[in-house]
Amino acid sequence: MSLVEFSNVCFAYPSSQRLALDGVSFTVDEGEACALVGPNGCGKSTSLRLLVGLDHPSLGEVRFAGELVDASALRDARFTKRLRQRVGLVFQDPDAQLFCPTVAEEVSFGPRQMGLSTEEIERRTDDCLRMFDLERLRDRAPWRLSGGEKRRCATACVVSLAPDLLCLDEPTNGLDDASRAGMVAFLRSFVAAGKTVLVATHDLQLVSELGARTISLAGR
Amino acid sequence: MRANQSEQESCGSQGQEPLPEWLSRGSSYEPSVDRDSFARRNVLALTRALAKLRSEVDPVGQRPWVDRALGVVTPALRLIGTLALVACVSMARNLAFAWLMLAVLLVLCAMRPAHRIAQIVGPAALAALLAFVVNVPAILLGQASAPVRMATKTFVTVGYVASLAQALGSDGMVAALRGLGLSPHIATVVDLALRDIVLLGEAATSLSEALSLRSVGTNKDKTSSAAGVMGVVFVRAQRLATARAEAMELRGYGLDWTGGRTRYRLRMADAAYVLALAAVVASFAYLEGAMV
Repeated sequence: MSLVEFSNVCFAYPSSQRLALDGVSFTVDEGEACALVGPNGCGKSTSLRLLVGLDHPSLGEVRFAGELVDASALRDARFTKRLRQRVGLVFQDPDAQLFCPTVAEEVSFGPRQMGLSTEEIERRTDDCLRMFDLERLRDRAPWRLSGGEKRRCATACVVSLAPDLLCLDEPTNGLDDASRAGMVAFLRSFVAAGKTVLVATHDLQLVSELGARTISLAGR
Repeated sequence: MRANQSEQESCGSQGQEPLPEWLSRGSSYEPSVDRDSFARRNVLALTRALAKLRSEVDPVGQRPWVDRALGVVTPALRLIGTLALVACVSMARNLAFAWLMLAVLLVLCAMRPAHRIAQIVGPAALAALLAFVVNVPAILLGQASAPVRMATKTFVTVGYVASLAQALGSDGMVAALRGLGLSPHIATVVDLALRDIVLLGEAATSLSEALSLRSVGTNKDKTSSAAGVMGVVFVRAQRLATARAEAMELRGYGLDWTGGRTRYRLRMADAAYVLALAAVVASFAYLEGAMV
């Protein structure tokens, strides 16, 4: 069974007459890396927003692990929280995602809410800070970080929830060569562990480095 | 936007580090139910409202004919006309003029699409309700008609102002202010303030969405999370203002800036609008004189 299933999905933002997505269908299987590619405005970011339930399709169906992700399902708080723990979304703009006073608090925000033990929270926080090379920045305010550091921090925050599917919107934007290599290595490890990655990107080199299956969204 | 799927060659997996055990194992998390949906929805509704403050005016081809006809009138003249109408309704001592203007407003509304009607009638009805409630104590003082009179006047005045704001949009309003001789500096400050409120509204919406995406369990410190969102928005506002000021300075903005004012020429549409406005003022004078 596919982990993600888009069936003939149409969507238009309320402020726009134009369809952001027009009859999009694709699937993503468990344990694979996929890349949504296409020109600006073709609906890559919109597809990710629909998948985590920030928006809902006007027509068609979005399913995660066989379950319909729509307005009625998201009224169930348990379903919503479970969905958002299992599907992590890293925004294109990391500034839009960071709101805690320090990097360490930012990374531990999710695990704290999950009601994990103090040891487990610390373990996850330390592991994430190490994996994304943020240890020396743990007490810094996130809004004082550079663009690349913010992106790594935003990714670490989502990874600390231990999602089954990691969605990343333009994950390599603003990263220097070393950070980019680290991000690619992490994503490969994530997939190698049987987890699933879905990236929305213009970076075809990243697609190639991840060995990702491409899903092309055609622009208008 | 059709999706095509294709396979690509895998690149191998050199340089991989094994993931920590907690990350690589399957997820078995069962969330508890936290009663935060009311607060979360309202924060999101507020930030989305801010983001929509500078709403786009419909493209000319998609406007109803009434807006297309009024669209050719100079914005400053429409602003003066609406202010005159508001003054007349406010000064009217009986309800006849207010009822007449209400009828005109409803006819104008009926020519617009449903979502635009809601944008006019919604705030007007809310303001009228508030005016009614505030004036209820007047009944005890023997002014039995006061709540209805005030509610009607409020509905009409807010309705016309909302209608103007919707038709002109924030850009048109700033153009109207400029047309009335407002200093280009003040007009620019108003324009930038409106634009930045929208940008900050969008930033706050994104942060609230990110908060909701990571709110996967029980948040014991909701106040702190909300404060974090607001704090980041304030920091962003400060950075935005500094960057904008520097960019404007680099592009030559200074106290001698004139704002590129254009000369006004009377057009047919303006003349027709002035005649209609004169008819409204005349009907006000007639109804007030005849029925007092």
